[in-house]
Amino acid sequence: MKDLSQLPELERIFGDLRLGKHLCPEDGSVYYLLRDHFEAYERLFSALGFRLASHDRGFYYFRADGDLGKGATQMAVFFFVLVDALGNEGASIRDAIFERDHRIEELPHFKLESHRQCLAEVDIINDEDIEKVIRRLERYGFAETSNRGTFRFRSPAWRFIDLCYEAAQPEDLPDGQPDDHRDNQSAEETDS
Amino acid sequence: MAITIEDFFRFGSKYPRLLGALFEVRDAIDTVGLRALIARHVDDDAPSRQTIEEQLLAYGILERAPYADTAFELRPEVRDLLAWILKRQELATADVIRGYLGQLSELMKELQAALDAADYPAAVHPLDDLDRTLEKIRAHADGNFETIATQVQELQSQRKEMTASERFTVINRIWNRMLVPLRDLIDDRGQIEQRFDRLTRTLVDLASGNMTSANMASGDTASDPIVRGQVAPKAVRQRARHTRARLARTRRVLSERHDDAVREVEPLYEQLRADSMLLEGASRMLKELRQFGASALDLDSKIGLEGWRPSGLISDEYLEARLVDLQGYEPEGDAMLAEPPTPVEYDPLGRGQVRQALAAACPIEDAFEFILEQWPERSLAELLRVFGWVHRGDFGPSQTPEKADECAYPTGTTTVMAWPVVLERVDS
Repeated sequence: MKDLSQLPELERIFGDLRLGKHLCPEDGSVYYLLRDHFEAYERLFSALGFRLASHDRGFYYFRADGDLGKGATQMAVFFFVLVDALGNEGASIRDAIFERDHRIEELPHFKLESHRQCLAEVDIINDEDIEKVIRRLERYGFAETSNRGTFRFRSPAWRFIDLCYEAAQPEDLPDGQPDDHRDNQSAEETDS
Repeated sequence: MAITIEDFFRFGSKYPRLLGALFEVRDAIDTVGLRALIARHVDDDAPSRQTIEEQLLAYGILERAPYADTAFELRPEVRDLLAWILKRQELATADVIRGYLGQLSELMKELQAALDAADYPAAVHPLDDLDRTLEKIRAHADGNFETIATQVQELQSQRKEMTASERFTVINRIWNRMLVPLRDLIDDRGQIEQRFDRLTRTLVDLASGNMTSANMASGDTASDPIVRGQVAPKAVRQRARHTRARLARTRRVLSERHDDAVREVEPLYEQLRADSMLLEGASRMLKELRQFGASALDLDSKIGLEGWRPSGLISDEYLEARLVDLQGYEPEGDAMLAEPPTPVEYDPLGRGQVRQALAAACPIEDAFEFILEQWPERSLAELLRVFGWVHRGDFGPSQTPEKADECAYPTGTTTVMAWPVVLERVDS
């Protein structure tokens, strides 16, 4: 495509991505347009100073240097506490994360003192703060809430799982797991 | 009392649940425990508990533990039999198989020596022992697979009883202590294949009547090669063919059963390994968060979220929050005095609150003493967390004077020992 400004749904896609949203198949046409014209979008956004990243789990986002204050940290710590709590159950943790509808009022975050301390470190003190974090997760495309008081994670939440794997054993990642699912390096290294 | 096959199996057919329960008891069981077990697992019309207890001992199913006359344990032979029936054999490690390979080597040497000396009757004994050793290897291969399959099923059905980490510990042991070393032994260039190849060649030669180098060189000129000692008698050749068939079966079973076990274990192993690492990573980061604070994790830059907007514009996040607040707002009339709010269950000290109190009191000669006096109603854990912030320099430079002595800070029933920390100023 010669005239990059004619890329389909450009305004909508750019509008979502520049606000930090992760686009995955659940987003419908905008995702598929982005996927089908990835190189053209990548070229255009790169010229505008944005790095379009592709994750091997099949979603796209703008990769920035990160200067969002506590927002990103709060989301990550919220996720780590959830993983830590699910570890005390018997079910597969990843299945429990992705295949469940999480009822907000039943979240395990404040049950243990150690978890409360961790959350307090990032200023998540009460249920209202938890709800704010969930709204933020939704805004960035990591989760989707329902009007039944539940939310569920979308595939971009794999970015938090990647962080856990890196922290566990950077040199020995599970076969076929996060090592293969990280950001597309060529997209990562696109000069902004 | 000598036990007969009939006695043993009659007892087993009358009390199968009791034998199963005894198998599950890993340690010795005392008299009281044994009688309770009997009561739970035999029918009401059975003989008295004491009679059954005496039969268990008389038939040699139980024996006394070496350290106590009133403690009993299953005889190893009975445990092995039950383990085979229940598909719960002890897993044979690569070391066990290696032991059998050593035996195979010795027997092959003995066999070769008999052939070199054309002493064919002497070849029968090592052939017998080879048969037994090969059958043991095959039995271990079968047993390993059955046990592993049973354990995998148990792990899959015990999701509620065991955490992901506990299940990974079990599967990791099977994978790394059993399957991986065995695979190394079985691989094309592994010890088992090499040993089996050599044995096959020897048996083929013996069974087909090929002359060995030793008896070829003997120079015997008799017309009958059997008489000359260049060909083994028919009975020995047939015996060698049987051992060769047994070897081929063991080789096939060993390889197939190992592949079956890997297929059984691998998906669960990979799943639990990934879960275990996920959990380990999350726990590690939470631990670092508690010890060093959020800034040490550098999560903001690792996640690298885009949040671009033209300078001077109100962020969508703020705007959205504001709109949510205003949504459906209607001015109310005069507000009635409300009932006192219910006490907040958990209201930890916030950084802002701490910063404000410290700033008002600076310079502070002993930060921990100040914290204890300032918030006497707070838990020690929370006060230590606040002290951690001060000590780490979150609010401004802090230091311990060179000549300061260690101080004792009594609080409630606990006395905390620490060196005094001076906080001269609070940075904005």
